Amino acid sequence: MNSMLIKLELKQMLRSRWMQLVGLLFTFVFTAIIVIQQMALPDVDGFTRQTASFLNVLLFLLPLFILTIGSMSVAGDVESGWFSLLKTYPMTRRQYIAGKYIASVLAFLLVVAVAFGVILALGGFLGGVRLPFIFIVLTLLCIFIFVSLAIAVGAFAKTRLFALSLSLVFWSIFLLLISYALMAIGTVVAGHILQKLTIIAIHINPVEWLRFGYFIFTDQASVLGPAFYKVTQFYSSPLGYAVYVAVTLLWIVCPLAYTSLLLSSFGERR
Amino acid sequence: MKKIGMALLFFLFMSQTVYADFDVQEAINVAKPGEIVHIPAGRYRGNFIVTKPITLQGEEGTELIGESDKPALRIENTTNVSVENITLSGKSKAIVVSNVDGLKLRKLQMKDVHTGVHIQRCKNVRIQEINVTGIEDHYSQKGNGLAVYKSEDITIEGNTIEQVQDGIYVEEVKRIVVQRNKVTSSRYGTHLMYTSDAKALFNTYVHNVTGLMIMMTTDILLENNTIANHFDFNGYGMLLFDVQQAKIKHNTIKNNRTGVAMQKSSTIQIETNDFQMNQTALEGTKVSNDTLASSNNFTGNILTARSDQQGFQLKNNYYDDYSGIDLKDNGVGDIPYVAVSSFGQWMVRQPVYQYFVASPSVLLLTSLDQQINKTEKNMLVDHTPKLAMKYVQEKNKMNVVQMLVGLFLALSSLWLWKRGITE
Repeated sequence: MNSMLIKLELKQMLRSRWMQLVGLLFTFVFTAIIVIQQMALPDVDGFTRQTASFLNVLLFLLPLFILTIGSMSVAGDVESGWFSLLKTYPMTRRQYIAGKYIASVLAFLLVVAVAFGVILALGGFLGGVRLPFIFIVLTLLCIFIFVSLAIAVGAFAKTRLFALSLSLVFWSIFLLLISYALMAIGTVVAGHILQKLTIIAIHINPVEWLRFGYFIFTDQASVLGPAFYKVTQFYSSPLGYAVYVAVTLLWIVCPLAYTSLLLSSFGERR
Repeated sequence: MKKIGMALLFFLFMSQTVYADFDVQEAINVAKPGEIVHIPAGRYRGNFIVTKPITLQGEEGTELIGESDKPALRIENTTNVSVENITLSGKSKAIVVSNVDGLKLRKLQMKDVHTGVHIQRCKNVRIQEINVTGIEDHYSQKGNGLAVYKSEDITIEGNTIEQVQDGIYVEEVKRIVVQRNKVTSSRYGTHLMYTSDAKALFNTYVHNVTGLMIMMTTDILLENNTIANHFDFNGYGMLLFDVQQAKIKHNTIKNNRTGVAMQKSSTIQIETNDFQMNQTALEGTKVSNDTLASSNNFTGNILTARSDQQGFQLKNNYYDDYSGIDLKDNGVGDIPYVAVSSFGQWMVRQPVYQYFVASPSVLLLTSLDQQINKTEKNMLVDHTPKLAMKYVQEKNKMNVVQMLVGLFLALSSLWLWKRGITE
């Protein structure tokens, strides 16, 4: 039953015009920025403007697309009554969530695979364009985490319009508002307090978590400045890696568990 | 067979530890002023002293090994001494020179030493083609590669130094030229303190904490150096603290955390340098108004310039992120380039902000800044930005394997997509 649901969900997602447009847009923007930047600038290791662009395009676009499409998919199921119908089949709530999660992950994997394929092909033709392995890993983590969050947002919203607006709110909070709030707080509090607040923000903001992971796994933690020496030293150790994996898993599991809770209460109310 | 092997091993072991019969100190003692003392190949253990104008000349395989914690070779209170073609080793300093007028050190190898050469109160010194490799330890436990104190008229050229505290440490020296040296994996490439009339030319500093550290120094010229990959915590390509009258010209400053930082300095001219891929290219704190960065190329830096309220001048530089046009067709942009950004200023005041460097939020903020700051007239504004730079981009070669892999990935993904829809 679960594999049938995955196939069905995947088919619906891939058929969606929105998903196809997103795939096209993502591929175009991603390829244009990466190829232009890498062709125009000398090839050096380390954190440079081109790696920053790569990282920012990834963190700007992918969470936005995943949150909106993923959340509306779940909210659409609830709103249209499809979820209620599915419940009449021999399928548990967990199976529904797992099916939805896997189908969404597969759909977005296809989107980024197309984009990466085009970058590699064009980059190979023009020369001098590389696709660092860490970006592939980071993209996968981004999909795994944000699909989970999108499903939770969709289950909470229950209507497509609310899901869309809620997704945009979450996206702007993760991408911009938390950082701006911290920067504003930094103008009135001492540096060591801002440093501690930033460390908390790294753990409670999946975008910052992924960005932080990039610096840790590329051994470029020094970019973050000497104020974060201790925390980056910890996360660069084997124990730190284990904690990073554990926190990442929590970012995937907790929203799905919350979704299960939301959908069970939805069932009870009905 | 086993016996032969054992004999060979014994020979090999003994050859490492056997010391030559030649008495180096005796040869030095009997040499007349101006004579050349030839030291045959061999390993000589001791703490040798030169107090007369002679030349010590070794050959391939000549090695002086310092005993206990004393230097392998001391040269003091004399004139015109040369030392050539010798390997020096030991736990302490390899060579210590005091009160010498006219010293030449050439083609020396120093390995696993605490300090390579320590020179104090000397005049007319020339150090050439020396290789120093320090010990593997924390910087605080290491000595300097070449250190010069309270001396005059020094030339240090063509040396290769790695794994030490400061590659070339210079303190209270008048008239010094440091050229064509290469310093890697050390704390500071070259460290100038309380020095005047200093030149650093054609040096290469790579993968140190800081390439050039210059403090309380006046009248310096830093030209044609390559300073790259200083991106550790507190890493700088160049850091000038309390420096007066410096010219920084024709250098390539690449991939550093901060390319050139100036603190409490005045009359600094930064001309015709290439700033490439630095996190921050130029940083100024408490620098005087007459500090000017002109005719430089800024390419791929995350932040071009940042400063405190005082700022510094930018003139006729090329910026790859300049968006203006040149309707007058004179090679100069029609609208000023504004390097000032709120985030850059915050970073100077509160270092914790560095965490956000090039983050999505700062990216957006900087874009807004560029619109708002167009009204900025003075601070970090280049009124005559150049539109083209003299820079030849290396032509990239086609990578067929990568292209085919990419095509395969893109086409197979699209096929899977189509299959997912139709099935």
